[in-house]
Amino acid sequence: MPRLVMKRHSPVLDMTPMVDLFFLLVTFFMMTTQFSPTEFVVVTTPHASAEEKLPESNNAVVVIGADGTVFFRTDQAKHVKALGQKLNAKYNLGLTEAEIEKFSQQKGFGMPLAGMKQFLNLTDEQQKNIAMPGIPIEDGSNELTDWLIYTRIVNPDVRMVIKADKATNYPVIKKVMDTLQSCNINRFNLITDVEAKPTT
Amino acid sequence: MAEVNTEHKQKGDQKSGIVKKGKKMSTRIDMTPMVDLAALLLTFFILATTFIKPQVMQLILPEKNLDNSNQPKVNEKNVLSIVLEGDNKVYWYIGLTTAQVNQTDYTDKGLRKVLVDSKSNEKMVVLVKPSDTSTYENLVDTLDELTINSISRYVLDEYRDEDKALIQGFTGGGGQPAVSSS
Repeated sequence: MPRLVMKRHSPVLDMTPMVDLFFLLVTFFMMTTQFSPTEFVVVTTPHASAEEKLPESNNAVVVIGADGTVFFRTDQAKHVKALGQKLNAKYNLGLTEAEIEKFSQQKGFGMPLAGMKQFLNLTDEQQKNIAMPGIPIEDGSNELTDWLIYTRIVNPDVRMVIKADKATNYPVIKKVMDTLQSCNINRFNLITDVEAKPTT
Repeated sequence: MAEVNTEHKQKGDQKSGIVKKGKKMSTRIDMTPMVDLAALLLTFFILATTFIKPQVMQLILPEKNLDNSNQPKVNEKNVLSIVLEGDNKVYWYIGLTTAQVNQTDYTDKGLRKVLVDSKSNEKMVVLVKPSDTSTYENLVDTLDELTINSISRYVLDEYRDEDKALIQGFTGGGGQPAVSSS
């Protein structure tokens, strides 16, 4: 009986197709990637069956944390810079040219404007570790109004978006909505999470 | 000079005199490090990318400083109030003076059924009244149910003392006190 001889395979395998595929994918992801903006707070948005997608630019997002702290961010550095100049003039913040440049690099804001100058002069590391008190929205010191109005002035195409945590209490949401309404912004978007649309 | 070199015409190592054969190199190169790098980059970009664009829900509120004197009046029989209370409780009633308060929940058998039933009345206007103890999730759930049922005649209204009284009257009989909202 002839012995069954296993054919000896070379341990080297041809990786070329795999490499091809890998590089194709790498290129694809490099082209399409858009780094997700980091929030100061963890926000779990509620689920809803809304299917509309948020466009990538021209958004002004009011982020509301579960504890009711309000943050604000908008995209495109040139608009943020113009916004900084306007707020600087209105509140006499005394920001220098360099500080406004720093302002435009910020990914978002969550502090009273009075503390802005001090905040901008912190190092990145310090900025990360500092606890953000949130933008004041109380009557009398409602700074969110100015953030919204000036954002609209510097970028008339801006789309107002509310991104709130699902556990946020309604009074905070109401206050933010009232603020939007008082700025004559009556059409805005609420960011929600995906949920299958019911078939019935 | 060229003539002198004729005897070494063969391309070879002049010092050793050994003819270089042109060593046959394998055409295979070790691609493992490259693959490693490519896989690393791939993983990074997959993780860093935001594939899912956030979904948004449109909300249009009425203009604030509008003159309310000329608003059309609605028969209270055509008004469905949905009151959102804390602890994920929902109460609903039709009308105000003869309101029959009912409790429901945010499931598809609860609030959705109420809304579907309300659609039998074409003139029905829905008032959403979130109390101070309700959460953002409650609001979004309710607005979502309204969108699902394609009800466009709804108002985001204020939670008033009448609503509070009605719900307290309802829960007072049921033993459990209403969630106070201050």
